[in-house]
Amino acid sequence: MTSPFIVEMKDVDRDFVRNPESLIKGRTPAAKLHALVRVSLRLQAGEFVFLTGPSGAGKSTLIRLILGLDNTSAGEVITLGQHMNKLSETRRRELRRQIGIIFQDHRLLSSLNVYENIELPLHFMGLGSKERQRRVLEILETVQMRDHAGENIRSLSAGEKQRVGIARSLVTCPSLIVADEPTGNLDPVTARSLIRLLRELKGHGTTVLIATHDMSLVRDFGGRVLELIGGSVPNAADAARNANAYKIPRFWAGAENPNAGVDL
Amino acid sequence: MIWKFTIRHILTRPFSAFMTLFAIAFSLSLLGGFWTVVENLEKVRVASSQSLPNSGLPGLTVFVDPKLSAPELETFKAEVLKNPRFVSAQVVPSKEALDTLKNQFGETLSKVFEEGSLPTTLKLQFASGTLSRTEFLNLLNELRAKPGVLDVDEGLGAFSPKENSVSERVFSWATGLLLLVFIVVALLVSHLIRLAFEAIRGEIDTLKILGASRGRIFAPLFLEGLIFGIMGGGLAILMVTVFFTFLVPNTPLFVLPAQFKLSSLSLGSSLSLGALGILASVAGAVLTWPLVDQPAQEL
Repeated sequence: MTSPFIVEMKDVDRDFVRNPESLIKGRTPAAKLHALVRVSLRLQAGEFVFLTGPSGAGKSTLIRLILGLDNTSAGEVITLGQHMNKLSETRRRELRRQIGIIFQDHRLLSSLNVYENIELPLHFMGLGSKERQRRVLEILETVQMRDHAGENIRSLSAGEKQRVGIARSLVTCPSLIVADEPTGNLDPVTARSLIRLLRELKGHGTTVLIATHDMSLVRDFGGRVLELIGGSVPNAADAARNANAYKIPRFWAGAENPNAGVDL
Repeated sequence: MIWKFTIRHILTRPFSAFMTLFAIAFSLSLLGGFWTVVENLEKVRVASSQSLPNSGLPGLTVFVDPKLSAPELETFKAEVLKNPRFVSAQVVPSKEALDTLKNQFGETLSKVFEEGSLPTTLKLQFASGTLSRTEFLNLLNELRAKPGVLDVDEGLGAFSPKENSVSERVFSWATGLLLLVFIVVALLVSHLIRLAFEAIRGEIDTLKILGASRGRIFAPLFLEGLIFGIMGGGLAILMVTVFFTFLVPNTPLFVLPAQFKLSSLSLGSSLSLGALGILASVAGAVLTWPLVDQPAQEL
């Protein structure tokens, strides 16, 4: 069964054992940490979505589940039509080649230059060298980094590194882009220019999911907002209160969903 | 790009990489040194068994049909002595002949001859000089083919099993040492790769998250193992050659025949040593497959 959504989560729970050693030693009972509790969400093609919430709310856990880097304790995650729990590690890696991923700390490989870092996902896709070159040069123009193509990663500023990271995520022309705190290490001006860049992708039908706790970005750029608090979704009243507090011009996820406060 | 990753892996822990390379080369050179000694001993054994000084041989004992008359026996002796390899052919007295038969056929079987007619026994003495193994065997076959000859005792049977048992023992030691070195080298390489893997786990996790296949992540590890195998094997061959060419000839470690020239590892054994190094290192790299297979730990 395929899903019409780019991402769909149904009643997802993710529990962690807080003290895994106790399971082995059998002394004290292991405490369970509920990172996500009955979370449901749907992302459609071309949506620009902020995933917000305080540190430890479960944003990264949710992203890991969408990317198939972790398994749910209960519930179902369907990414690009694939049931992640049923996929082998090999198939999950193949699926991730179709997803643009942006990290907080850019995760560029220091042994490769700017050009080679951006080229990396195209290698994984098995594209020929001419096609790789065409795409890399094109995306370098888009992120205004053409002049830095041969430079070592270490010589770039934090903003430039994140631009390269974004270029790497865009070069495969993905239908889904997932960014985990992409502006965490950047100054406000650079952060806004990067989010603007991602915002422009909406016009190309690309779904963009950005996890952030920077509410000013959410306020300034709008889009759909998903909030996670303590691993679950707040009720509609809390969501509305938060919306007023941050003067968010668009709607909270709950407001556009009949199961307000439960289904994102 | 795979080469860049491979170099990155190796340079992550340069000191460990150097020490591992040295340990691999040392392990392989120990095996190579042992092989060299075995090869030299084998040469001594073959040389001494291929060419026997006639004077050291006990001679041949020929058992002839007792029905041959005295003139016929004299004709037989004259015919045998035409061969310059023999200087004399003497009839052995009955008692001495029976003892020889006991040696040849054992106590029980020789009783048959005691009761019946005892074959005429001739003792053939070799002329001085050397005799190759092939010549020796041809001589035996010629004698056995002559009419009236029942059997020929070459008198060398007692030496062969001893030589073979020594050879087998050495072979089993060499095999045991080979397996040990294989395991040691494989574990050394595996350990080094694991160290490097842990040091750059973040980068490898990034590759996994971006969708790198297992083969693409494993390729640099495999190449790393291959490089260590080639370098370790090459270094080991060099160490063994230097040791036996420049150091051992000046040190009388072994009692060898005066005419014997100590040689270093043969080309075949050198290549085998290199191949062993490569195979063991690659096996070490393969041991790290579970690291490649596991999902990314960090986002």
